[in-house]
Amino acid sequence: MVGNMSYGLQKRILIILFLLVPIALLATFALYPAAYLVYLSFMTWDGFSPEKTWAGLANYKEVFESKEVWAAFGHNFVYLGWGLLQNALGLAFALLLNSRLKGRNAYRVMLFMPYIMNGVAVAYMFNYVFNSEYGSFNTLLRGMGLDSLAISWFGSPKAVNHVLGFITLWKFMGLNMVIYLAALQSVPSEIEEAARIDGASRFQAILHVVLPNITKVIELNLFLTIIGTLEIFDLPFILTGGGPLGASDTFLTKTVATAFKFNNFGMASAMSVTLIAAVVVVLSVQRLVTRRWSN
Amino acid sequence: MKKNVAAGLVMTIGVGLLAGCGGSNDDSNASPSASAPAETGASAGASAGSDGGASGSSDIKGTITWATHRTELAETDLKKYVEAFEAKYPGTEVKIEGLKDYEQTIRVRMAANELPDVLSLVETTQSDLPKFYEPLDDLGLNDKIYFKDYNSYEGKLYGITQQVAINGLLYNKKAFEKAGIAEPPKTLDELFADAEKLKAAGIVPMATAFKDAWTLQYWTDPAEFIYGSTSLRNDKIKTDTPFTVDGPYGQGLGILKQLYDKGYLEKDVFSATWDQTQKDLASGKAAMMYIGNWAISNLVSNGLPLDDIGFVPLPYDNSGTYKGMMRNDWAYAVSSTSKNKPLAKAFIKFMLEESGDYADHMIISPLKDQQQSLKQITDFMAYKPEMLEARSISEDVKAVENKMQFDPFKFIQEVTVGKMQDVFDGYNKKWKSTKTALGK
Repeated sequence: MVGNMSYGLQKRILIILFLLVPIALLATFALYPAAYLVYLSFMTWDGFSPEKTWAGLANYKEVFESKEVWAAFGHNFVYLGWGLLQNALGLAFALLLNSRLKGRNAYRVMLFMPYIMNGVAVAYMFNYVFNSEYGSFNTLLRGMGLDSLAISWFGSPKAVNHVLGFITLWKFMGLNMVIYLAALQSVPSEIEEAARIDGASRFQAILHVVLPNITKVIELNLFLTIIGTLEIFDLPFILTGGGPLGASDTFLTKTVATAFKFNNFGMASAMSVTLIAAVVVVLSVQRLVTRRWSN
Repeated sequence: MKKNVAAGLVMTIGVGLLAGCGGSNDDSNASPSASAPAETGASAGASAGSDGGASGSSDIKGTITWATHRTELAETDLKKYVEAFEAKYPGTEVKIEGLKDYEQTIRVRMAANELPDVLSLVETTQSDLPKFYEPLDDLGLNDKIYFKDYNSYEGKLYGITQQVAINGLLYNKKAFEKAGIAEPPKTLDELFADAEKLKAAGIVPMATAFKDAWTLQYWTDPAEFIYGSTSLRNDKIKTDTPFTVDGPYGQGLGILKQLYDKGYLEKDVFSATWDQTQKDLASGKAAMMYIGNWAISNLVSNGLPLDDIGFVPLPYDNSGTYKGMMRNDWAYAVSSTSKNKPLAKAFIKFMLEESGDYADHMIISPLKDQQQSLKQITDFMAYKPEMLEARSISEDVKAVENKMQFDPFKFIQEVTVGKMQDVFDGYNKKWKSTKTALGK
């Protein structure tokens, strides 16, 4: 039977058969839930009852009118600030560890270690570090006579997001560093050496020769960082629960609370769709900026 | 990938939250009770021949699944109860399913219409109760239990609470001694005077576990005592300004607020967690806490001898008369889709009447005639408090609260640390606009 078919037809059938499984998996586990999310965002649903009622754009209207939601979104930008610093530090360490430093492999492992650690474990660890009474950080500050600086880190509305931002920096800097390091190692050393022979200082060589060669990777890292900061969830959820008094709520902790605490799955879905839209907007701006810069 | 991580976290952390919100459930089970096996065996054996369950033991055969939130006991004590049940009704089998992320798991199964035969009732709106659960009126327990109105709809009973919790002032007798206090406070003034003494002795007078917030929910009890009824929260629907400084909410929550303002709560309230609070109460670093009787066993497992634990009604005014709040817990329920309802019902009846669960775990049985003889409870009752039963939240109030995203825990936090008038004004405004928008 197979023999009667033309070669082209056989090839086509084979390709379709091979693609069938992954596409089916993709459709069930990625496309269908995503489409369902969009569908739910137009419905009123409490999460368990059999009936869902059409709500139209009411959920979106509610999201955009809610001051609390956007205040929470504002907190995400604190993380973004720390995320940019995280990239700068990651790049600096990558440059440092790309040179012939003694024991550089040990340093690489050490700096990458936090990323491997379980997020919940990291959260608990820092819970002890920043505890206002028993915490190691405040003990250190008091030991140095800086008692006035030993504040309640998770209890102060002004400090709490920065503390959490710092913890994300600590955790994810290693990942950025490793990606930068890989990029740096792919830059042929000849061009840097040529620049040095032409009289460029080490700093000039990095700025004008090495960095332009890794813009794509810088862009990738920023992409990862921005997505990560807009979708930050685990640390505030575990460490502060959005407290004190909502000062460390982020867009996602709000979304989860809307769905699971207030049984408003419609609005929560609308919030998720809004977040996806926000990510697209921020990333387009980023692409625009970096493209101009690399040109 | 991030997203998956987040979703996974929701699932895992949900467990922690549930443990928190349900409060009484998980914690009360942690009690070490040496007499557990003996007592269970005895009570089961003694009553084996007495009555035949809900609908005669002849048609009680087959297999059911029992989903429970009490995961840490699923393989030990609960299994013993099941074995005693199976011994009483030969030819039956009860499969225990301890669910870690209980509420979320059950909600998913609810949406899929796949509830287990016997379960801990997950709250829905009252009118949805008949959709998911089977009426339990034919167990003949309606007049014998507390909270018969909590999980009912149109006169039918859909869930029976697995235990009753009494809220009271839990205190460490050693800490009181150290501060030179001979007796627990009998009036509100005495409460503040004792707090001052404790503070002077370097002890945290009133522990709250403020950061975890769910432990604060009990502080609305004084508001309901002053209001005289537990329908305070439901009666909000009648007014546009439910929160007023000189009303029940202002006066009731005012007690906690005054304690905070005078520095009688934890030094840094936003780091005070339930984990730490239990240890501090047991070690005498903190002296008092307003919480359910189930917390007694937590203190015991943290190393405080039972004799050093005091439990009395909270003096919410200076009158010398007392009120006590009873709260319900997760409720036993039978799924409306169960294929073996007689067996499921017989099992619930057995768990309530014969298992000995309440005696094993120092908790209060939902059956009025099963008296808990624990000294702390009899001491509490010696004050002759007027006992109030917590009420379920009405559909209308729940709808408005969910729509305005009213978080009662956060509300109490805000009132305590903020300016009461401003906080109330903010909530009143939201309440009114949401209520009008929903047309309630």
